[in-house]
Order: sequence, then C-alpha cells, then structure tokens
Amino acid sequence: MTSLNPPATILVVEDNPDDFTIFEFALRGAQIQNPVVHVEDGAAALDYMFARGKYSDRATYPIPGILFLDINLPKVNGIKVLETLRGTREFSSIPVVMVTVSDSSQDVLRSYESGSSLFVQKPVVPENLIALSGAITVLQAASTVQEG
Amino acid sequence: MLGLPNHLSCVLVVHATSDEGYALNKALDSDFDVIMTTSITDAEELLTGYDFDVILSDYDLIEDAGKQFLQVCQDKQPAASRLLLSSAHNQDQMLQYIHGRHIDAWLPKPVDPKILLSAVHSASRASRLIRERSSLIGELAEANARIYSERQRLIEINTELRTLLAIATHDLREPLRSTRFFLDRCLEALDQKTEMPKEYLERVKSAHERMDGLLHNLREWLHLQTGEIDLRTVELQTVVAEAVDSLSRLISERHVVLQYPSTWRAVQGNAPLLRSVVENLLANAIRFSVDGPPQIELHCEQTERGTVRVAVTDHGIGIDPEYHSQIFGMFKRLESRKTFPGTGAGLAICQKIIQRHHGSLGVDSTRGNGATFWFEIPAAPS
Repeated sequence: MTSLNPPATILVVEDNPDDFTIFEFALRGAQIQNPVVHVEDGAAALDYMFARGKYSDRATYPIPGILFLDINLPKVNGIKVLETLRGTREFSSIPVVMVTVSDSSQDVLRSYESGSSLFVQKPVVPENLIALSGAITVLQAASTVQEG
Repeated sequence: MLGLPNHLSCVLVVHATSDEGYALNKALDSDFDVIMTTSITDAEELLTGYDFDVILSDYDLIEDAGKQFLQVCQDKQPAASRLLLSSAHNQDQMLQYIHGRHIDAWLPKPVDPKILLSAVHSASRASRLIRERSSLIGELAEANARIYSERQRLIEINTELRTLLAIATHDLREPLRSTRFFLDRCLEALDQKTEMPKEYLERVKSAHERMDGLLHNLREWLHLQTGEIDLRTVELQTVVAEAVDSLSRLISERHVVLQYPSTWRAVQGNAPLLRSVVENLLANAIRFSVDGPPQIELHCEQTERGTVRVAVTDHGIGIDPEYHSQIFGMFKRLESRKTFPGTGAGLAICQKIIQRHHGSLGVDSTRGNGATFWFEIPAAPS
C-alpha cells in the first residue's frame, strides 16, 4: 500500500487480541493509514459485510476495500467466510488476505480453492504488508479491466 | 456339570443285562470312574448331570431309540467319545453309524476285557484332546477379541492424540508469538532510551500465564485419555457441595442465586473428577450470566436407563445451536478472550471426564435464552 486509493476501510477479522495489536503495529510500520475496523469472529465478519444487526448502517460501517481474514476463527471459520463472500456477486472480487500460521499448507490450499491467492503469515510484520500492497494494486487493476 | 472328585476319566455305561453290566464294570472299574445304567431315560438325565469322557452303550438296549439316543449324547456331550457294543452280525449297521459320525468306534460282542479297556482308554484320550482343543479355541477367540478391542481403542487414542498435537502446536505458538513481539518492543524502547510501556510487559506476563494454562490443560487431558480412573459409588450431594465451596468467592462476588434439587442421587464415578466437571459447568454458568446476579438451577434425576442426569441451567447469553458442536473442542472458544477469559479447554476436559465415566455430556441452548449443560452417567449399583 502505503495507502489504497481511495483510502478504503480495512476489515480485520482476528479473535486474538495480541495478534490484532501486532497487526496494528505492522500497519503503522508500513505507514498504512486507511481506517481499520476490527471484528473478532467469522459470524461478525459476515454480519459486517452484509450490513446485518449492529452493522446495518453503511455510512458508519462502509464496505471495506480489503479484508484480512484469520483462518482459525470462532463460530464461522475464515475459509467459510471466504466461500460465502466469493459466492456473493458483490464481493466476488474483493481482495481477501488470508492470515495463516507457518505450518498451514493445508489452509493455504483450501484458501486457493475457496477463492483467495493472498496470504500473510503470523506474526504480521510491516514488510509483509508493503509486499502485499503491490499484489493488491495489480489484482485491483486486473479486476477493473475484467469488469470494464 | 459335576466333575468327579478324583481325576479319573468318567465313563457312562448303558448296558442291556446285569451280567453284561457286571462284566463291563469289572473290566473298566480299576482305570475309570464308571457310572452304570440299564435305562435310556436315566442315561439321558445323567448326560445333563456329569461330564463324561466316554459313553459306552449296548446296541441291544438302545436298538429302538438308536440314532436318537446317540444324537442326544452328541448334543449334550459333544466332547465325549461314543462307543457301541454290538454283535458281529450288525457290522453293516455299525459301519453306517461310524460313517454318519453317530459313533466313534464299534466293539463287536463278545468283547475281550483287555481290548475293551484299551479301546476305552483310547476313546478317553481322544475326548480329552477334543475338550482341550475346544477350550484352546475358546481362549484364542477371547484373546483375539481382546486384541481387536484394544487395537480399536489404541487407534482412537492415536487419532485423538494426533488431533490434539495439531491443536496444541497451533495454540501454544500464540503466546510465544505475543511474548516475542512485546519483548522486542521493550528491547527497542531500551535501545532508544524511551520509556518502556508497562502494558507490554503485562501482556508478556499474560501470554506466559496463557501458555502455562494451555500446558496444564494439555497435561490434564493426556492424563484423562491414558491414565487409570477409579470409579466407585459417589454421592453427588458431596461432589456439588465441594464444587460450590471452591467457587464460594466468585459466588459471593457475583451474588449468585443457586437453586438445588430436593434430592441428590449416587453415581458410579470418580469424586474429584466429577467435582471438576460440576465446578466447570457452574463457573461457566456464572461467567456467561451477564445481566445482574446470576440465577442458576441445579437438577438431578434418575433415568429409566439406569443413569443419573445432572443439569446446570443459567439465564445467561446462551449459545446459538449452530455452534454447539464447536464448544466441546479443545481450546475452542466462541467468545472473545477479552470479555470471557480462559483457555477454551474447560468443556473439552469435562467431556473427556464424562466419557471416561461411560456417560455423555451436552447442551440445550439458544442465543439470548440461557443454557442448560447436562451430563448423564451410570447410577451407583444398588
């Protein structure tokens, strides 16, 4: 990044408070200043995306420009969230970065199959996010070309 | 069946005349326990009362009942050898009996006492071998069944251990990640001679405590999985009183209102483990009751299945049925650690304990309507 253009909201789905602190630190380190919304489980992530319950006001909870999605989440796991988003036309090409732990080749494979090719490994460091920003820009350009 | 006190082989002699009986008894008496009868009805009764090695019958007596009597012998005493005494002119009939396996051998009359003795000895040895073989086959089948069931148990344990290992390596890494991150920040602060944020050190400490908790739960789970568990008659009343006592501080802080059943039952169980289950369920019921003083009801009932069902009902936040299966997983949690602290191992450990009691544990709940956690284990033998 250092900033998505226009500065879109980043939705971070992470149940572990320390991992979220580490993530925020990495965002600051990568000088990413987009607004960040944090939810703690897969069900809340889906509520947010589909403007349900306490997230029904789109002005306060805008559709994010990108999601960082932990895989091992309470209630609805990250893969299931990804599948639901990819099955919805509106979110079929929204960039979703899957957040994995180091020994999760199975998770990576399932994420590919479910529609994400973007990964970042825990603990997330600024360099990861800077590297990802290039990939996201390219993907967004490609999706704009396809949709156009 | 009765065995005769000395360990001589036992022979049933079904003879026709008293002279014949005398002669047969004289020939066999020194080497065998001999029981004599001239009645087929009596013989059939004796077959249910004693274990015979050899059944020696006279064809002249059993002629009419014939095959039927021999069949009864075979059904009731399959290991006994069947010998038939008969005149030489019945040779064809006797050979048919041998082919049809109605008898094991034929002794033509008049039979020489020495030949008779040797034939009965040989028949007795055959009978003993059959008995030994069938007993060995039985033992072998039992051993095979034991090995099979043990193998199944080991496969199950192995699968559970693999799953646990995967979960453990994933979850144990989390506090390590946190510790490393916050210590790095502290070191940076030292290097840059800036103020070290106290919160970072507190989070290192908290990560350490989590690690300790996770390891403690793992050890507890492994012990439950592989250790011996002593089950005996346990009064649930005592178990519950102890659990309530160990939670007394939380109960008084949160002004918990506990309602008890009128009677408690006794179960077949392990008191310290059951206390831990009750304590866990009660603590959860208190923690997840967020509006005002928790109202918790305890129930206890004997079922028609010979089990006792204990239930803990709260009026707390409840659990969406969609997530019921997740809550019993090791280190699984539905709610944020910030709001509801804990390792997420409590219910997994409770379930393992109840499994080791040959029982089941479950939940009835919907979101926003409280929850009833229950377990059902065998009642104490009366």
